[in-house]
Amino acid sequence: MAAEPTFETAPAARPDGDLLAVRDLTATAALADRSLTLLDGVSIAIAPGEVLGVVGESGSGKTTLARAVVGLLERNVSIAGGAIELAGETIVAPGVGATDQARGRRVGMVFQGASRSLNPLIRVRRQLAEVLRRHEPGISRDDVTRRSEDVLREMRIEDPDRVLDSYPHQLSGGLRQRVAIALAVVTRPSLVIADECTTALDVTTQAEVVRLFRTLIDDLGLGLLFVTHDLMLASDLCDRIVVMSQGRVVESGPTAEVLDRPQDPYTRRLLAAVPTWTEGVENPHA
Amino acid sequence: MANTLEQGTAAGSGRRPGTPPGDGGTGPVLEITDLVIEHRRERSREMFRAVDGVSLAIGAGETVGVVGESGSGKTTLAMAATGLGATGSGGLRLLGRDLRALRSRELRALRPEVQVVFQDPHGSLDPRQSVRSGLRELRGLQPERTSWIDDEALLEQVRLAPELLDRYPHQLSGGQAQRVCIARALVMRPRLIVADEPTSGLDVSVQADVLELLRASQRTAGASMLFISHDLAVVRSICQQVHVMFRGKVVESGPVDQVFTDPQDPYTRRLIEAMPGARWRARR
Ligand SMILES: Nc1ncnc2c1ncn2[C@@H]1O[C@H](COP(=O)(O)OP(=O)(O)OP(=O)(O)O)[C@@H](O)[C@H]1O
Ligand SMILES: Nc1ncnc2c1ncn2[C@@H]1O[C@H](COP(=O)(O)OP(=O)(O)OP(=O)(O)O)[C@@H](O)[C@H]1O
Ligand SMILES: [Mg+2]
Ligand SMILES: [Mg+2]
Repeated sequence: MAAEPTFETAPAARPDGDLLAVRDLTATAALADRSLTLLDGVSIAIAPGEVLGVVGESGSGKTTLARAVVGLLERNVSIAGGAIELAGETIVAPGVGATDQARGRRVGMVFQGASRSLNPLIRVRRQLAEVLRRHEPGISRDDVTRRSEDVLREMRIEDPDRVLDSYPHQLSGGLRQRVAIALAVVTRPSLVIADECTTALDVTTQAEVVRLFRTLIDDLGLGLLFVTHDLMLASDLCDRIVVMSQGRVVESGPTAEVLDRPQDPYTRRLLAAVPTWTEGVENPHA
Repeated sequence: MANTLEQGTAAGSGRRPGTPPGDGGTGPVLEITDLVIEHRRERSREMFRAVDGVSLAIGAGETVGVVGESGSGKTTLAMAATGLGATGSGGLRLLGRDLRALRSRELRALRPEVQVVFQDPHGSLDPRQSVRSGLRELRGLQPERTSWIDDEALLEQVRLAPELLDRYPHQLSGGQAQRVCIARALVMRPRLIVADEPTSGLDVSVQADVLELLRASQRTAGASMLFISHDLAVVRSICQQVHVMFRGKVVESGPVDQVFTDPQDPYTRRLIEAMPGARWRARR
């Protein structure tokens, strides 16, 4: 097994017991002619067993934040300030970062767009096996098979065998997305970062995935960072919500508070645009 | 402001809405009858029906929604309808022509008339091309058809800043990539847009604008649309007709308000019941 990474500054003792703490994080992207601030002093925290929803404008920095936590930023993006701590240990700070196997074992990530979570050239069976073996090097072949099938069934996939034998392009969008979630949760990590992980799911399957997350949260104390555009879904699943706009957190608080009494003008605009089922359906052809 | 989609399509094309050239513009833009498409199961000889006897038609200027279970055959249907995927058996007429009888040259001539917005935006953009050079390539294929609007104005239509023209796909957010895909479809002024989850990565305020843009292209250019989505509220707001798919079959069809307020099929009912936001609605 890989040694735990060591850092020059020892992590401070954690009085508050946060699983994930992002403090004043600033990220910049280098473009040909200038640099761009993608995250501008973002702070969030997640306790074990807690779901934090991240909502906000398209392009506001949600994915950048999610990728920063797992250390997988695009090559031209770097951390310019602030820090990320995982269970009290600094895993990201200016100059600290790159891949970290320990983080890989403790954090599962579902990327936005299944094409970014899955390797197109490898069958699902091998992708799951590789994740399991990396996490538990001595795991038996039978256990790999059993746990791969089990996790797909948890995703409400009826014929896990067919899906295991398929390449990603042979699966529907929603199946691919569920395989991506399966890859992130199969090792039972303590923190899952899910970036728009339900966009390709019909609402009944979506409800099933939400139920699975709830089980992992309640039974195993999983912490979940749930990035979504779906405010309805966020209101069902999340304990707290942060609203992002232009690289900053503009509002945060308990879900009901943020959604019922939004303070920030951007949050208000966002809530006003939710297409409601009964009225807001303005159909010029109806 | 520069050229808008409304001005551009009406002025640039010179055709009346709803009466596109070629087939007299009277028949349906897309007509599918009893379509069956099979896929082979990996590592076996067995075939299974991904689309199992589906019929639907889209008239000029009409937007037809397809909702349904994940894996129920929606994307397979869309790919068949556009001649981009397996066409299986059954009737398949696009712009009045039998899709399977078309020679490849004829099919190529139809291509610009039918634009697809794929389910996975990042996966469908060429990673080596900036937004600008991707658009340049498209324009090179159809110089006249695409001259109605310049790049900056086109991006503005989908609420993207012109500076994004010089970005590569991996430098765009998910919702930005999705809007680039929509822009690439609209620049062609197609007669049929097949959109597979085109707004799933957009926050609700941008989504509202993009939906309005799609409506505008329909009103002014008479474009028709096959709109696949999991968001029932969005389907209800943009489509006239909806088909509900379950395990390869259409289990219920009709005008959106009828299907969504008085669903007959048990699966449709389950879908409506499972819509997220129960807590939200309870507090309202
Ligand atoms: N590698 C990069 N280089 C330059 N700019 C980038 C890069 N990656 C992202 N950006 C820009 O940073 C901003 C934030 O992007 P990010 O992907 O974090 O947004 P997001 O909130 O996830 O949006 P969406 O909801 O559309 O997925 C966007 O304006 C995007 O164009
Ligand atoms: N190339 C292929 N080879 C084998 N099977 C395939 C192929 N493409 C799709 N399938 C299978 O056919 C079925 C229908 O897939 P399709 O992509 O049409 O579903 P969908 O309704 O679009 O689902 P989603 O909402 O999840 O995107 C699925 O079981 C899928 O795994
Ligand atoms: Mg994103
Ligand atoms: Mg699909």
